[in-house]
Formats: sequence, structure tokens, C-alpha cells
Amino acid sequence: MSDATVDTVTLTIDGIEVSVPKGTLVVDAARKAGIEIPVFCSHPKLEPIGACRMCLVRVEKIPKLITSCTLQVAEGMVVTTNSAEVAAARAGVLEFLLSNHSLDCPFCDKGGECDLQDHTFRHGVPEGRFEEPKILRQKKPMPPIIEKVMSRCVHCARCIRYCDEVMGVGALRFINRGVCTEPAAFMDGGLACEQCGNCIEVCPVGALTAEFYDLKARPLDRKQTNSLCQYCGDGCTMTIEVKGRHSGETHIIRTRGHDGQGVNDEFLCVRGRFGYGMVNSPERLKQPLVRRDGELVPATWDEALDLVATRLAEIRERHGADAIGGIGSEKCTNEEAYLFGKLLRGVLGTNNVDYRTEAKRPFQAASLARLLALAPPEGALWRLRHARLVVLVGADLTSENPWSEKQIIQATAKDHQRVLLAYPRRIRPVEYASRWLRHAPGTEPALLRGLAGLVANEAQAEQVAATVGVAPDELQAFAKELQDAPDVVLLLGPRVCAGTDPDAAMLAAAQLAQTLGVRRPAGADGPKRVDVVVLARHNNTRGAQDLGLLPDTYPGYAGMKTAGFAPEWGEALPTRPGKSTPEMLAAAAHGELKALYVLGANPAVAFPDGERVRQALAGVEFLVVQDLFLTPTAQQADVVLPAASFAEKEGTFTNGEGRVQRVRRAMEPVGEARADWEILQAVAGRLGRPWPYLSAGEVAREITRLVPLYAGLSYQALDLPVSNFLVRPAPLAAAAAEPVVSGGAGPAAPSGEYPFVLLTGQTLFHSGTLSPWAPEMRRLAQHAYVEIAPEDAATLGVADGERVRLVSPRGALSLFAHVQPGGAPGILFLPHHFAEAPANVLLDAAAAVDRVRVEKE
Amino acid sequence: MTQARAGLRETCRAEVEEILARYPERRSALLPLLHLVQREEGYISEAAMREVAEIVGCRPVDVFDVVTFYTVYHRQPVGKYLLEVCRTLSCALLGGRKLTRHLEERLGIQAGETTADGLFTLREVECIGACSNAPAMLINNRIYENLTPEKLDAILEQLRAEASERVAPPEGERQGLP
Ligand code: SF4
Ligand code: SF4
Ligand code: SF4
Ligand code: FES
Ligand code: FES
Repeated sequence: MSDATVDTVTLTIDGIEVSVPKGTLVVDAARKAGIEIPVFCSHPKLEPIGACRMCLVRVEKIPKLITSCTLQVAEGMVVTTNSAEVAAARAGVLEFLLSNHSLDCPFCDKGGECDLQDHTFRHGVPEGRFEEPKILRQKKPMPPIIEKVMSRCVHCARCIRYCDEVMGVGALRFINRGVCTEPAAFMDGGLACEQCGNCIEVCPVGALTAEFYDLKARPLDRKQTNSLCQYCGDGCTMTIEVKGRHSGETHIIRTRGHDGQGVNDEFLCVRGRFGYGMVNSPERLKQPLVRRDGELVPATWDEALDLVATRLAEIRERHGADAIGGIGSEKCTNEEAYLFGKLLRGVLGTNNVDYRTEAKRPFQAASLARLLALAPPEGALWRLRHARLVVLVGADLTSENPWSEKQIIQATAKDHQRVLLAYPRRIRPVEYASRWLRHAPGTEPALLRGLAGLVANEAQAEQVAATVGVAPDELQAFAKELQDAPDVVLLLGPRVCAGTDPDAAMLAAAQLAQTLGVRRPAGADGPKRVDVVVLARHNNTRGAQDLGLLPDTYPGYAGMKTAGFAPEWGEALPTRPGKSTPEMLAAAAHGELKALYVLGANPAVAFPDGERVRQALAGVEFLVVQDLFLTPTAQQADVVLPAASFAEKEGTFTNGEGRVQRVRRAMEPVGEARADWEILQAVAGRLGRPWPYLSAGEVAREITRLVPLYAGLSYQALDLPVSNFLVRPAPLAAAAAEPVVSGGAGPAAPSGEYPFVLLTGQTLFHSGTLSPWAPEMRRLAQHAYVEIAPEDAATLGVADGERVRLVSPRGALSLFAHVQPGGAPGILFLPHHFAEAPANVLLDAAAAVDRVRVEKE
Repeated sequence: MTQARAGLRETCRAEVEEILARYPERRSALLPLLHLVQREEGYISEAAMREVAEIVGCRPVDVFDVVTFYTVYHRQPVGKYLLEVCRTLSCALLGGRKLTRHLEERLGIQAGETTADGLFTLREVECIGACSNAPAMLINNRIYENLTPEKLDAILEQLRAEASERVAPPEGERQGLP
């Protein structure tokens, strides 16, 4: 954000006059004047330390050469970077650095893009004077992924500082001294960290590398495409690097972030950096499959598409349009989400469309739109860096939205932000939160309502505290801090809507925001600023919502108003809200839903009550699945259509903050796979409705025309460094009109037969159905496990790593126990994405809280 | 870990408390606590580093950083007598290197190693501040100056004799607080 009141300072660098904001470092001022000063340790995201001496310059009135990366500009300062003296200093630094450098450039991942090579080429001298033998060191692993080659290290500490300052992990320190100084983990062993690989990215030389990439390619072998991460809703920009020229041999060899690009500005989390392998997986579907005599067998596209069209038309003819339903995806592009809705609503004539595959009870589109309207207009990620108080409800940020979390970590480290956390389990945010309310699982609606009541002085702390299972004074202090903070960001995670009353939770959150927003903080002259952020778990959760993959709204949250779509999509568009995923599955089980079209979703593994889902899927007459893999859902299908991955198609994703960004095709689709939008167009065509799109861009153009929320969108406007196209629904009627009610469901009483509460969710290494197909991510987290508190483990006599059986009223599952220090007694956590141990078999779609018992195996 | 370690907070509770009480920040107690570990256990093990990290409230890798930076901290058990020969400029010019060679030959070990009987550990270190009387060395933190190979032989003999008389070296001569 530019601020007109910031003082500027004018100085002269190599005779060029340049004006920059006060506080700018000389090295950055020089860059602004078009003068490049070579650096190693200086990095735009990190605090300056002046460790490498590469950036020495002459400054008038300072007796010695000085490091320009630590020196702030001053009015009238005269800097020289182009003198013989400075050149000699640079050459000297490089000569020292090379005195023990292995110079194994031909065998170095960084060869061709290395700052040491570049600086030496420009500023070095061809021959060093050191004749002594070099002290060289071997490559050393830092398991599980990272390797270090310390003969290449220039001791800039960028890796250490990034891990400290941005990640907040602090996994690395310099060990030893003198020429043997090196960044290392404890005992110079493996890294027990987030495995994000950002330390590799910021290393200016080839001293750190990832085992997956090491010696796999030279810069010239790689084709680079700027695109987006396909995992969480933070929407990080990444460069996809592919190797191989011919289709069939092309594969992704690396993905990386770039300084100054995207919302993430170089950062990637572990999934973003190492989760690309699912694209390369040999298990990708490469041709359509149709079921013949009970078996799925390969077919041509024509056969498969004809079958899909004929069967859908037939079923509509015989049973009516509402006997058909569609479950879309939070991973596909906006264009595809839009076309999926258009196919279901406009071509087939039903509002039975949804994207949610995990929710027990669907929320109403209006509840969501009301909250989205309260989002910070400048973007949630930016806002999180600057807010004074962040309240985190029901979000395991570390696992779900890693980049959002890093905004908070950086802000709290600078002491201008405090964090309040409400979460039933011990998660990483406990480390940096100033308060932690450990409410009983499933009481999120009551907690939000209670907080709204307390803030409005209309509720009793004792009563609310009893309802949500926390101490009254803790709750009181939490509410007080909310009241007193000058500004607040309320972050709502997936747990808020995971229960059986998501609308109540969302209404309560809106009311809380509104009650807070009318307060005037002491000493402030305006009302308090309150923003609400609904975190998006997947790369295009937001796009699926915005573009109408919800049974009760057309794109843009216009509800059942078909006006804008009527002539274009079809003449008689359905106007009654359709069925949500749980309703479609129930209807399928009762034989009312005859055909189900699943696009990139996997309800067989995701939706609660796995056994019933499988029965429901088996119950439909005709099941089409469009996916990358033969998922458990696809295994039950009558037709399986192979889809292109995110790296193989064009389009846009909308991240959680509402920022629309471009995904670009980095390689040809594998085998005969096609982009989802192309498949949908082919199906529509065979149903007698030829669509005219020649590219995803043309679909986008239709979206801008028909969906006011996306009006003005053009692919050109989304170009790097960062898209500034942010969408936000218009505010709805005020939620405060409805009375703030306290009370609500209390903590579920423990029951004798099933004494444990079971929570399911994602982890840092796996987020859903894609990451388990990436061998790199599998290396990081191989086996399904259940987290159990040490006290419970002791009582049960279960040791860490032992196998246990979980039994619920709905099903049973056998997996490894992981004893979590500090875990909450009575609560188990089960990552939900392992197909070999599908958590959903244990879940009860009707229960507010799931309960299980643990048996030793 | 070969054998169970009682832990500083059990064995020297009062001293730990006393050290912590000296500083406004717990982290400042890091170096003295490491000295305490070394006095009690002879060297600083992985388990001890973890414990110290816990006591001062930092990460184990922060302790590892410090322990590997200062050569006064030992990461392996050392012999009864720790011989540290200076290898920095003044001593190097006046034959420091020769002293190391001589000791290596006499003890049958390389610098960095410990004799099989556990009596001697030999190391080379940077300047020990005795440059005016170089070449110099430290033996269990006591400075020996103006050394020659002959003097070294006499010293070794004396130490061997001392060791056979006494079961343990006297308190003050063990690696302790400087
Ligand atoms: S991988 Fe990430 S968390 Fe681990 S050491 Fe590197 S920067 Fe730190
Ligand atoms: S490993 Fe790379 S980033 Fe880390 S200190 Fe060495 S050169 Fe710098
Ligand atoms: S934070 Fe989210 S968008 Fe960014 S790299 Fe990680 S998973 Fe991808
Ligand atoms: S870049 Fe300035 S000292 Fe390293
Ligand atoms: S150089 Fe040996 S004591 Fe200083």
C-alpha cells in the first residue's frame, strides 16, 4: 500500500539522483536507480544481516567501504558502486568464497542459475591466489528430502533466516565455526520440520537441494510455465518446470515460487513444492473406460461420450430431470465449475448440483454470501499481515492454509499482532496464539453465538462456558480481548461448518462481526474494523461457490433468479432449489436419483458414512465419473472419463480471498486425457446443445458477461506479478436484525460403548484425494494413522506405532496409533485422505459429534 | 544413549536454580548450564543438550549451535587429561606443530583422539592467549608455556605417575567452570 505521508529521501548513487521512501536500504535504492549491486545474504523478505560482504559500496563521509544491504538511505547521501576500489572488494570477497568452493558446477543443480556463478562472471577475477589444498566436504542428507553440499555454501544464512522469520519453524542453525561452519539441524541429522523446501529456494547457490530434483535436469532442459498451486485456497503462484519434449515422456520435474510473483512472493508450502508428482503418476487414467459385463474396460472417447449422452437423455425422459444429479469439484477451474452448472441446469434441467463432499449438513448459499461480503476488500492475505487481532476459529491453519498461517507468524513475530485460537485439538497455532480456547468438538455454533452474546453484553459467561466446555474466566478474557482490540480479523475454518448446524454457525459469525463492528474502541474516532475470512481448503473452493456449484443458487449468489441465464443457458431453467450432496446420496439410496455425474470428486472416500455412500453409488442406475485416477468412486462408475490435471489445462482459480488467477498449461495431457471443460462441452453437444467454446478463455468471457460478480474479468488483467482481480459478493440484509441467541448444543456426553470423540481432517502433507497419488508426498507420510493423547494411550496400553482398531456405530478401521504429546484426552484425530483407511466409514452423517472406541489389535 | 542419564535438574537442582536466578532472561543461562553439564558428566551428550534446551526454553538446535561453536565444550567423553596444543600464529612459528607431532608419536594417537587407556585426549586449538611464551598448551585448562619436546616427555611422565597414584584427578583440575 502506498502511503502519501511517508517521507522520501533523495540520494545520489553513481551520479544518479534517486528518491525513495525513508528507511529504504541503499541496495534497494540502487536497484530503483537501475544499478544492480551483487548480494548473497540480502533478501527482500528477510531482515538484513550483512553477513557476506558482497554488497560493499563507498559512501561519502564513511571511512570504510560499507555493506549497502544494512545501510538505510539518508538525505544527500553520495554512494559509489562503480569505482575500482569497490570492484576490488567484490573480487576479494569472491576469491575468498571460492578458496574452498568445490567448483563442481557441472554437477550442481544450481549450475546456470547460480548467484555465485553470475557474480564471479561479472565481478570476479579469473584466478585465485590460494594455493593451499581445498577443504572439501561431501554431500550430506538431511532426511527426509533435503540434501546439503557444504563445499558450495557461502554462509549467507538465508536458509536459516527464512526458516526463522517466515516459516517460524527455526529448524536450522549454523554449527561449527570457521571454514567448517554450516547450516544444520539438531545433531546435524534429519529435519523434523515442515519440509517446505523454501530454504532450498532462497539459497543463492547449490548448497541445498531436494533429493527428488537433484541432478535430474539442467536449466536448458526445462520448460517453465507460470501457473498456480492446485492444493489449498491460498492460491500461491508457482512455476511449473517440465522436462521432455514429446507427449508421453513429458513430466514435471520441479515446481517453484519466484520472488515478487503472486500472493505468495516466492513461498511455497510442502504440498505446493513437492506435491506435483500426482501429475506424473503412472496410475493416471489415460483413456475412457466403460462398464461391460460388470468390468470397466477401455473404450474410445466416442463410445464413452455417446453412452453418457444416451443414458442421461434416457433417464431424463423416463424419470424426469430431477432424477439426475451432479457432484462437482473444488479443484477444477472456474470455467469448468461454470460449465458443470450449465450442463446440469441448462442442458439437463436440474438444480441437483453441489461441490461439497464432506459436509454432513449443507449450509445455505445465502449464509455463505453473507460472510463473504464481510471479507477484507484489499485481500485477506494482505490483511492478515496487518491486523492487530486475529481470531482463529475451527481452523488448523498449518495444515489447511499454510501461507495464510505464515502471514500471521510474521505479524506476531513483529509484536503488532495477537492471535486468539479456538480449537479442540492441540495444533501448531497453539505455539503463537496468546489465548487458546479448547472448546468441545461440535460446539462451534454455540461458541460463536456465545461470543456474540458476550460482546453484546447479552449472555452469561458461565452459561456459555458450560455449553462449550471451557472455563468461564478463559471465555470472558477471550471475549474481552475481542471487544478491546482496535481491529479484528475473524478467520473461520472448516470445522465451523463441519457439524450438523452450519447455518447457525455462519449466522453467529456474522452476528459476532456485526456486534463487534458497531463498537468504538477506546480512544478511536471511528467504529472498529472487523473483517471476516472464510478459509478455503481447496484451490478453487471459492470458485465452485461463486460459480454456482450449490443447489440453491445460480452463479454469483443470485439464488434461484434465472433471469440472467435464461436465454443463454436454456429456455426453461429449473427454479426450485435442488438437492445437496447428502440429499442426492440419500435419494440415490432410495432409488429416486437414477443418474449421478461426478466431476473430480470422490464421495466414496470423503462423505460421512462410507458404507452407505458405497451403497448409494451402487444404487444409481448410471454413474459417470470424470477424474485423474481410478478413485474408489470411479471404480463404481459405469463410465470413467480421463481428465487433464491442473498442469495440463488453461483457466482460472479463485483463491479464498476472492482473487481470480490464471492456471496455465505446462504440458500436454497424458494419454487421451482431456480438460474437464472440453469433456463437458462434448457431452452437451451430444445432448443436442452444441456449445461454441474454442478455449477456456471463451468460457471466461461468457462468465464475465452473465455473472455480475465476475464482470470485468479478462485473462490479460490476471497476469503476473499478481492478479488484482478480487471478487466479493454484495452485502446482504443485515444479520443483526435477527436476535442474538445464546445456548445451543452443549458438549456431547461421553457414552460408555464409544468413549472417544473422533475428529477427522487434513494434515500438512496430505490435503485430499490428490496428494496421496504423489509419491513424493507419500514418502513424507506413508501410512494412515490415528492420533491419540498420551494419557489415553497409557490407559489402553497402546504404544506409539502399534496397530489399533477403531470401532464406531457405523464401521471399523484398523491403523497405526500415533501418540501425540500434549494431545487432548478423549479426542482422537484421524487424517481423512487415505483411501486404504477411509475415515468416512466411521462417520455418522446424522451425528453432531462422532464417537468411537479403540481396540488393541 | 548407552546409559540412562539422571538429568541436571535431579543431580544439581540447587545449582541450576542459582544459575537461572543470575539472569533476567533464561536463555542467558545457556553457557553456564553447559559448563555445569560438562563438569558433572565430562562431556555434553545429546540428551543433555535437549535438557538444557528445555530448561532455558529454546530449541535443541540452538544449544547444538552453541556447543559446536565453542571448542571448550566436548561432545564426546575426553580422557582424564585433555591436552590442547595451540596451533595459532605465534605458537605455529615457534614449533607448535612439532609439539603436536611429538605428542601424537608418544601417545600413539592422532590429534582429536583419546588413548585406549582413557588417560589422554589430544587436540589442537586456536590461540589460548599465551602468545608471549609460545609455544603453549593447556592441560585440563592449566596453561603450560615455552614448551619443548623434552619438557613434554617430562610432563607426560609426571601425569602418568600421578594417574597411577590417584583414582580420580583432583577436583580443580577437571574440566570445570573457567
Ligand atoms: S524445509 Fe522449510 S521448515 Fe524445513 S528447514 Fe527448510 S525452510 Fe525450514
Ligand atoms: S546453505 Fe545456502 S542459504 Fe544456507 S547459508 Fe549456505 S549458501 Fe546460504
Ligand atoms: S499454501 Fe496452499 S496454495 Fe500455497 S503452496 Fe501451499 S497448498 Fe499451495
Ligand atoms: S548482501 Fe550485504 S552483506 Fe551480504
Ligand atoms: S598463538 Fe598460541 S597462544 Fe596465542
